[in-house]
Amino acid sequence: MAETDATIGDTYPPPHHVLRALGYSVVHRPDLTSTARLSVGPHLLGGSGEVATGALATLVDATGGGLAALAARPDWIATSGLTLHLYGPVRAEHVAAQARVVRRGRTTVVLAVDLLADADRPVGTATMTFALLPRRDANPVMPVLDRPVHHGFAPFDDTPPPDLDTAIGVEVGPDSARAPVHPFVINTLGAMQGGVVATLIARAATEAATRRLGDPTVCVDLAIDYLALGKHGPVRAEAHPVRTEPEWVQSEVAVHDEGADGRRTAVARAVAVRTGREPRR
Amino acid sequence: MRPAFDDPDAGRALARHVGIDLHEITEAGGPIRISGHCPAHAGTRDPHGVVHSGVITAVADIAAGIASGLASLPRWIVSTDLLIARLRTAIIGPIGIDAEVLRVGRTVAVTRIRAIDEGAGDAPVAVGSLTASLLTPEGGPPDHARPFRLAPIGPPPEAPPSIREFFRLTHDDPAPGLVRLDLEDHLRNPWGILHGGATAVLVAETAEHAARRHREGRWYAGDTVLHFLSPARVGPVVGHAQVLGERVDGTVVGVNLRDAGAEDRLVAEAVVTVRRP
Repeated sequence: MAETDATIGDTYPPPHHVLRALGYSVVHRPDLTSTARLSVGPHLLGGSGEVATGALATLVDATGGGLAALAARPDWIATSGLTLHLYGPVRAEHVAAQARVVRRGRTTVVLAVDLLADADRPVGTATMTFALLPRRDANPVMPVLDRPVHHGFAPFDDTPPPDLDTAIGVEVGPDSARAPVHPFVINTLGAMQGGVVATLIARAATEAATRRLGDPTVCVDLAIDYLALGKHGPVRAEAHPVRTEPEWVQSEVAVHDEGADGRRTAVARAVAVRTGREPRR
Repeated sequence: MRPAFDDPDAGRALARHVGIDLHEITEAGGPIRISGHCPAHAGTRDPHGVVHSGVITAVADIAAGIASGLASLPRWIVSTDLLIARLRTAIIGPIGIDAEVLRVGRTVAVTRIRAIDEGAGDAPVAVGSLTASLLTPEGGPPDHARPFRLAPIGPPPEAPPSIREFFRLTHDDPAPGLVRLDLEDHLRNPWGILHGGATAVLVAETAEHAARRHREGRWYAGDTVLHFLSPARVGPVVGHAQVLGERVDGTVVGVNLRDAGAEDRLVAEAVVTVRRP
């Protein structure tokens, strides 16, 4: 079956946007499965050479959001949850996300997303949940797919992208991370994209773990409940460790929109592990 | 389907087995909040004496479900996603539980859950959240007096049935599947389907059993992401599992539950990080 090129719209994503920085491309199929890919450049690597957890969460979020919107039609969706479970720090040149609809009910859509490194190596799994909402006139009209549709977001120019945190504008503090809401990070509703929120959560959890373990850490597990859109910014994620072990730290993370009277926009749990350690055998 | 909300015994067997005692502590103008505790008696513990992770998740589901429902009135809720991180293995008990509604939207309610070990200086036991879908039940929502109260019936039993006895769990029989739950009436909720708490117990039991097969020794379900997908009405409900990956903090196990009596209908999917005690 031939794939067709298509664009989501004339204005989204803007020229300098996180999806372009990921080199993100996706194929949505009539059977309501999707496969998305990102090319791992140096700007997507964390401090220990692993693919940044935020980049992987953004890959999952963008892929799941597109697929859920197709599955939900004629209704519209609001993301209510994202979980990401990596099997360790991910080291790869390419990462693919294979998404499928687990359930499309009257009120919710549930997706499962498998992450594969370099074509066939499983490196993680994710789930996303969406609440179904009556479609409003302002919502995009999603097509009925009769053939695979391809979206690709190439970098807007040849300028090498800065590392993801710099491009997002992440400011790191003790056990926290914050970033402004600006065109690079927005979703179609003009709010901070869910994957970018996940990026802040992962950074906050990592900061908290690194401070307690005294070594670099990487976030390998996220469970996020989205409560409200972060439209104003800065959006701030603050981690509160609830369990500290010699090799890992588990935190609760609260996310607030500081520009909206500190409105709580998400709550999460996250696990960050010391890097450079092999799984026990 | 019309839920049996007017029957005070319908769907209460699980809550009575664990001895949960809940009361509403909502403050004027504040979010709906449910607090309570359960005794962590022998009937909530595994053969090694460890409180079963599924029981902790079940208690969380009960408390957060009530809080979500009260916050959604005049509608009611069904659980859709339960995310729980277990923070400690050794629990003296009683287990304290606190459920606070964070958000009620047009179609979804989100409730935060915290559990502590009241016998160990209120040490944190678990944190998590319940997401529930709002619906309008046929016949209306349950008619609970406010502030809400769910009291146990009498003291904890001296010789309660074990986890496996109460939840009708059998292992490796029949194939395929790892753990089977026979869907007897006491494991149903007021809607007449498998109780969310019993679903959580089967998920935890299946994940732990898969981990033991993968690598010998004792395991417990640490972090659980549970998606309720469709009701189990017939049974037996069979748990299948696959070890997905290993990390320094535990082993990641994918679990799905199917209603074998309803053409293997997919009931729930979960991702569980199992850990060593």
